[in-house]
Amino acid sequence: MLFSLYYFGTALIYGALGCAFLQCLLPFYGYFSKNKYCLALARPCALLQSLLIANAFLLLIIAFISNDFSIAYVAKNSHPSLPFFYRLTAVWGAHEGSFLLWIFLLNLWTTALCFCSKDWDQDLRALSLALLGLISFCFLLFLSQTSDPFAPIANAIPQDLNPLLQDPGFFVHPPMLYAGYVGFSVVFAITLAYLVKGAASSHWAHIVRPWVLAAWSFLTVGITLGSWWAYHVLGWGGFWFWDPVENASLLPWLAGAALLHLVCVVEKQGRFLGWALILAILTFSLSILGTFLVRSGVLISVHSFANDPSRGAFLLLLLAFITGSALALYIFRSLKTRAAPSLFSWTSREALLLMQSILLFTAMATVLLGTLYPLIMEATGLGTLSVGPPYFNQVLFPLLLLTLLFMGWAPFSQWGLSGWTQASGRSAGRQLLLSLVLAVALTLFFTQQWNSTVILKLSLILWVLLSVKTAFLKQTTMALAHIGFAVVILGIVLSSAFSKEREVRLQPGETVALGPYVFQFNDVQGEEGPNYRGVRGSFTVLRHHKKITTLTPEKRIYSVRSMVMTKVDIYPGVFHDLYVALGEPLSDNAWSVRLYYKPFIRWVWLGGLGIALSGFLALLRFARRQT
Amino acid sequence: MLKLNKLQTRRLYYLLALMLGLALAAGLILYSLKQNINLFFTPSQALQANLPAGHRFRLGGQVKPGSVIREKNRLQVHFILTDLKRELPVTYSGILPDLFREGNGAIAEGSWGTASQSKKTFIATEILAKHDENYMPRAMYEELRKK
Repeated sequence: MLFSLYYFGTALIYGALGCAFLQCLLPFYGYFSKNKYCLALARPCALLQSLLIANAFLLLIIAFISNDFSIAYVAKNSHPSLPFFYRLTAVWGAHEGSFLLWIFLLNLWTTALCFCSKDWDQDLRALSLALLGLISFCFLLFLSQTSDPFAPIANAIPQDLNPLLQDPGFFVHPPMLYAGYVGFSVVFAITLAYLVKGAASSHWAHIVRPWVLAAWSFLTVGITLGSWWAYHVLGWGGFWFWDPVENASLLPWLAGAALLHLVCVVEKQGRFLGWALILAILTFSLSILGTFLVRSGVLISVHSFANDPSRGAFLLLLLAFITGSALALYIFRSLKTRAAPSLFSWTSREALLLMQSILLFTAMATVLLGTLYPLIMEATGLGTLSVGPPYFNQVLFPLLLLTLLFMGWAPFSQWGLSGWTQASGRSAGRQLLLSLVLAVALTLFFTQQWNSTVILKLSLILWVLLSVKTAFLKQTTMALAHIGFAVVILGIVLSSAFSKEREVRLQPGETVALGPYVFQFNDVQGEEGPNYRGVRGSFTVLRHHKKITTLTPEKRIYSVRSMVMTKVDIYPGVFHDLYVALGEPLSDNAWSVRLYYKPFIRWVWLGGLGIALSGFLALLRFARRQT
Repeated sequence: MLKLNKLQTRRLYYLLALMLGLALAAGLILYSLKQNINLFFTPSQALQANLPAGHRFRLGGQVKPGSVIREKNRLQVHFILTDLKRELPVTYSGILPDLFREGNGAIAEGSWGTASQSKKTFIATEILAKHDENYMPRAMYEELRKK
């Protein structure tokens, strides 16, 4: 036991805790006492902390690879029979490890800040690092006191990784999502550093913009992958369930998008600075809230994997402390400074971007309300209830329509007082009319039905897609992001309007029709996996008596946790997916089977990745302009 | 009469637009929230609450061991949800989630059936079983802890 990983791990974490403490304290002391040496110490402290945390993270990976079951966390989330690949993902499979990942990513971002801030003002750089140190200190304290990933255990029985997480998607999804969450802490640190200095201006927007862009792009990738994972692992054919855990990731995304739109105006025109600062603070708070919602166990969710109510209190306190003090500082500063009054046209680009940010913020607030409403009701003793998906769909629908309308308008707009010219108005009108006609034609041609909601949504999507081409050369990344968003919405609209699904009882040899497709249930055979056993069904899919493919959905029992899992099989396509999931065995060799026909579902994720890609492209261009 | 310069008028419009927008948004939100909340009950609470047939709510409890009965040739399932005090028969047509097991916790969403008032049946349109085998509704957990 003397050379157990426990001692190394604990030493590394406490070492990092010490570094974080110094990284926070020294620059603040240096700033207020005008001590240059203390300011300069922020960077080495931050780099040392990152090194220690990276080693702690590596140590946990080694513990998983080497099956060191003397560590409680490893014993709870791994097993000798767990395939090597999934041992790596098990590192962030539960609470302690994912928290270490959170802190590890925070340190990666801090390191990035250290290297990208060479030409910044020294005060600003040191204060930003100090605030990152403060965040890191809080979370490390939390990790070491309540959820030590290296806590030892004697004679533990390995319990295997949650089978739902034994999926390749889980290898990338949490790191990306967390990179997004955590990235906003850099934005927050820089913003707060400006507020401490009392010198927030359009320069703030210039400095903070690439960080917002990077964090938001990672978050976009994370959410997209999460949605894809839910689609092919949970076995219900859906890509978004309005589940609190999913909402938790959407909240900072919406706020971040609002911030991103606004930062452009602040950088270019110096307007709306106050609103942008508030958004920067709130976006980070929402990231912490997301962590709180997922990790605290306050929610009844279909996939809150690791939770413990006692941990919630700390996160909530931290959230209140951080948001409260940041907003207090903002109010204190804004009382002293008064922005110069400025005029702009109601049809100008800044008005449009302001509008867009307000819409996104409103969307965020409605999702937040729907997510927290059950918690508030329960905490105040007014009953236990849940808010269903129809609420979110209903409330977001008008917001989405307005957002699309403004998005299509964006390429025609101009900065400042000139705003809306007659020529641009006429051309925009023509495009709007054209997209309406196209939407009607397409809907009637493909469905032979008059479906006014689909036509309305489709015409607005087409309006965004058509109008954006004028901006393609001048604002390529904006155009790409808007196209990506339109594609996401197109995927959502078409897949939810024209999906077909059936739940049937099938005996081997029987067939069932779904739209133009015929599914023939051939047989069911037993199978053995490394850490599971199960059965594999075989379905031949025919269209007009021609065989298209054979789908082999599975039903697995993971032996260690004796947990049953549905492994669906999907025939993917650009325009539609065919999706088969085995239900349960019934009498007479029959199975209950779920079949889906999902048109355009891939577009949801393609569009999402497109949005993220445009973000990274913008970042690349930003980096090139700097050098 | 109060005289406003151009900037002040503009500010006033801002404020009015903002208030109007907020009021509209709040109205819409409250309306759809009211339409789309599902109350959550344990079987004893559900029997006490006495909601009309067709009113949707969520019923949470333990699937009584030995109570799951499948109909032949259909996807119809009958089982009993219990909070260890009262029991309620539930009928569901469809595929049950993987974690649905006798003795485990489950949440059924649906409403009272209209059939016979003497023996109440809950008609579920959706069964949620949490992705964690140790899950049970909080009210039930506290009930168990008391014992």
